[in-house]
Amino acid sequence: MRIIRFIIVKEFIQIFRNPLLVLIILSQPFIQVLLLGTAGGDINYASVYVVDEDLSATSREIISKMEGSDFFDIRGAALTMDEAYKVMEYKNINLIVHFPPNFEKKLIKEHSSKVQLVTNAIDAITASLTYAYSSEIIGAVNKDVAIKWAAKSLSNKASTVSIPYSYWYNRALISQYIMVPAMCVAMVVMITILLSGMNIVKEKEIGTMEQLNVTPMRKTHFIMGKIIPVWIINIVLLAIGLILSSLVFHVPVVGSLWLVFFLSGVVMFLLLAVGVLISVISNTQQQAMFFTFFIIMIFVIFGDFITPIDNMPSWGKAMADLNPQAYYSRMIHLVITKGSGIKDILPDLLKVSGLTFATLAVSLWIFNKKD
Amino acid sequence: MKNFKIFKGLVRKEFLHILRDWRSLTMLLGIPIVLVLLFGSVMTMEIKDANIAVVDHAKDHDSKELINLISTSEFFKLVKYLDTSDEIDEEFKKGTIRMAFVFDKDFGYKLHHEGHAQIQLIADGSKILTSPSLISYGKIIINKHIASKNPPSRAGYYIIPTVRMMYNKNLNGRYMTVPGIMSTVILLVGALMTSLSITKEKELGTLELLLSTPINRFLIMFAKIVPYLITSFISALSIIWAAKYVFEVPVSGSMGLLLLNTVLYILTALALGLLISTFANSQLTAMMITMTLLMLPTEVLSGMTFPTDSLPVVLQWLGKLLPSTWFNIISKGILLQGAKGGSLFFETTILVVMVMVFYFWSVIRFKPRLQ
Repeated sequence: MRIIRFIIVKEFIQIFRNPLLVLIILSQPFIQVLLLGTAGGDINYASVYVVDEDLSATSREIISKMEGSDFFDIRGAALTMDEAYKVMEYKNINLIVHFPPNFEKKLIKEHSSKVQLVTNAIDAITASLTYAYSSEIIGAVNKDVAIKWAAKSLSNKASTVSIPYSYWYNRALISQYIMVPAMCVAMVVMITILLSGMNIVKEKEIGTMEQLNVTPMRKTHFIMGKIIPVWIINIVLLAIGLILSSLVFHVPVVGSLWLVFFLSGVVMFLLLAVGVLISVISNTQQQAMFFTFFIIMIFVIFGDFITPIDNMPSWGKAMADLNPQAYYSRMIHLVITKGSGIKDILPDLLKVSGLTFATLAVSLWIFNKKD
Repeated sequence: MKNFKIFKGLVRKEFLHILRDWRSLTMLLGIPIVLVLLFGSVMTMEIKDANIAVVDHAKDHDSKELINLISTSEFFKLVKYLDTSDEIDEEFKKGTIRMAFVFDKDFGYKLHHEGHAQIQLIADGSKILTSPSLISYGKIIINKHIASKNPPSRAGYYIIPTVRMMYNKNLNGRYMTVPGIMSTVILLVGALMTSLSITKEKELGTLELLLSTPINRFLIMFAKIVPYLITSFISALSIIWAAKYVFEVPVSGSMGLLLLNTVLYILTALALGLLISTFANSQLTAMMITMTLLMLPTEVLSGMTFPTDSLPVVLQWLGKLLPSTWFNIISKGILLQGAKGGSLFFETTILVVMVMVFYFWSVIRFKPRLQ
C-alpha cells in the first residue's frame, strides 16, 4: 500500500510540474461539455429560396406560413428555376419552393394544383425533415383554402384519426438534456485512455521503466500507482462536467447522483484497463498514439454518440456490446434521464466488470510473453 | 543546389524514421481506411425493423387491421402486446422497445360513428436522434391508411407537393457521412503525425540539432512534412476508393479537382500539427491538444453528421475555424453536386490561407534555437 502511495504522489508531482498539461486537462469540461454540449444534434433549420411565378394569394399564403415557422428561413427569391438551382449549388440552400404560373387558377378550376419542392438531399435526414415540414404547411393551407372557398361542399365529412404523440423522459425533446451527459461520457472516455496509455509508454521510451524495474516494487504496484491518479483526475473532471451541466444547461438528474459516480468509477477502471493494454502492446509513444486514436474513434463510432446503435446492423450491435462507451452512455442515460436504480443497471455493470478483467488478463498475458 | 541536397537528405531521414517502425507505418496507412469502412457501414439514420409494442384497448377489426399494417411495414417490428400503458415504462427501461402505439377503447366504433378516433404514439425522449423519425413514420402509416378508407371523390381543393431530391435521389445517408468521416480522419491522423514527430525530437533534444542544419528553416520544416504528405495522400486515395466502390458515393465532379483539394487539405492538417507541436512540451501534451481541439469538435461542428446550419451561432463560428468544415463543403460539392473549381473558389482560398497561417506561424515560433 505504501509503495502505491509513493507512486501516486510521484505521478501527481509529474503532472503538476507541467502547467500546460494541467491546463489542458482542466479545460476539458469547459471545451467538451460546456461548449460542445450546446450543439443539440437536432435539426432545426432549413434555408429556403422561392420561385413564385404565380404571385397569387395562395402562393403568398404558403410563403408567409413558411416565414412564420421557426424551421424555415426564407433567404430570397429568384425569377427562374435556373437561377434558383445556381443558388442551391453555390450557397447550399436546403429547399426551393416553386409555384408554376397559373398555380392558383388551376387550383380553382381543376380542384388540384401542383407546387414543386426541390430539396438539397446531400444530407438525407435534413432533406426528409424539410419535405415533411413543408408538406405539413401546405396541408394546413389546403385546409384553409377548402374552408374559404367551399365550406358547403364539405358537408360529407371524412373520418379522421388524431395522433397525439409524446416523448417520455424528455417531454419537450430538449436535446441538451441528452447531449450534455453524452459529452461528459465522451470526455471521460477520451481523457482516461489518453492519460493512462501514453503515460506508461513514456517510461518505456525514456528508459525510466528499467529504473523502476530494479526497485523492489511489484508490477501490480506500478500499474495501480499509474492508473489511480488518472482515475482521480477523471472523477474530478466528471464532477466539474456535471456541475456545469446542471448550472448552465439545467439537465435534470432523475436518478441518484451517487449512482452516477459509482457507475462512472466502475467504467473508468475498464477504460484504464484499455489504457494499460495499449501501453503493453506499444513500444513508443507514437505507436501508443496510433492505438489510442484508433480505439477512441472506434469507441465513439460504436458508442451511441453520433451513431445510433439502434439503427445498426446486427454485427454493429455486437461490436457495441464490447464497447465501454456504449455501456457508459446507456447507463448514464438510464440513471440521469430515466431515473433507473442499481437494479436496472446491474447487468451492464457486471458485463463492464467482466470486460475489465478480460482486458487486464489479456494485457498481463502479453506482458509476460514479452519478458 | 546545395540547399536542395540537404533538403533531400532531410526528407530521406524522415522517410527512414517512418519505414523503420513498421507497426506505426501499418497503422498510419491502415487506420484511416478501417475507420472509414466501419463508420460508413454502421452509421445510418434509416429506421428499419424498430422494435415496438402495442397497447390495444379496442381489440376490434379496425385496430387489428392497422396493427397488422404497422407490424408488416419495413420500419417497425411488433415485439410485444401490452395490457396497460404503465408497462411501457418497464419496457423502455429494459430497452426492449423503441416506441409504443396506444389504441383508444372503441377505436373502430368511434372512427365509423363519430368520425373521429385516437391513437397515441409514445417514443423514448432520451433518443433524440431517432425518436422524431419513428413518430413521423408512425404518423405517415396511420394517415395513409385512414385516407385510403375515405371515399375518394370529395369536393375539395388539393395543393399537391411534388418533390425532387437534388443530388441524392434515394436519400442515401452515406452521401453525408462518408465524406464527413473522410475529412475527420485525414485531419486527425495528419495533425497527430506531425505534432508528435516534432515534439518527439523536442523531448529527445534532437530538434536543436535539426534546426542548426545550414538551410532555411522553412525548408527544414517542409522536409519534416513531405513524407507524411505522401503517406497521408496514399491513405486518402484508399478512402476515396472506398467511398466510390464500397459505399457507391458518386463522383459527379472532376476527380483531379478532388485530389488537388485533398492534397491541400492534407497540407492544412500537417501544418496544423506543426503549429500544435510548437506549443506542446511533450508528446503527451501534443496528443492531448490535438485530440481536444480536433476530435470531438470536428465530429460535432464540421458537418460530419449534424448539419452545421442547425448549430447555435457561436458554434457555427467556431466550426468555421476548423479546416474540416471547409473540406466537407468542398468534397461534397465535388462528389455529389459536380461542382466546378469556380463555385468552390471561396472554400479553397480559405484552406490556402489556413495552410499559410499555420505554416508561417509555426516556423516563426521555432525561431529560438537554443533555450
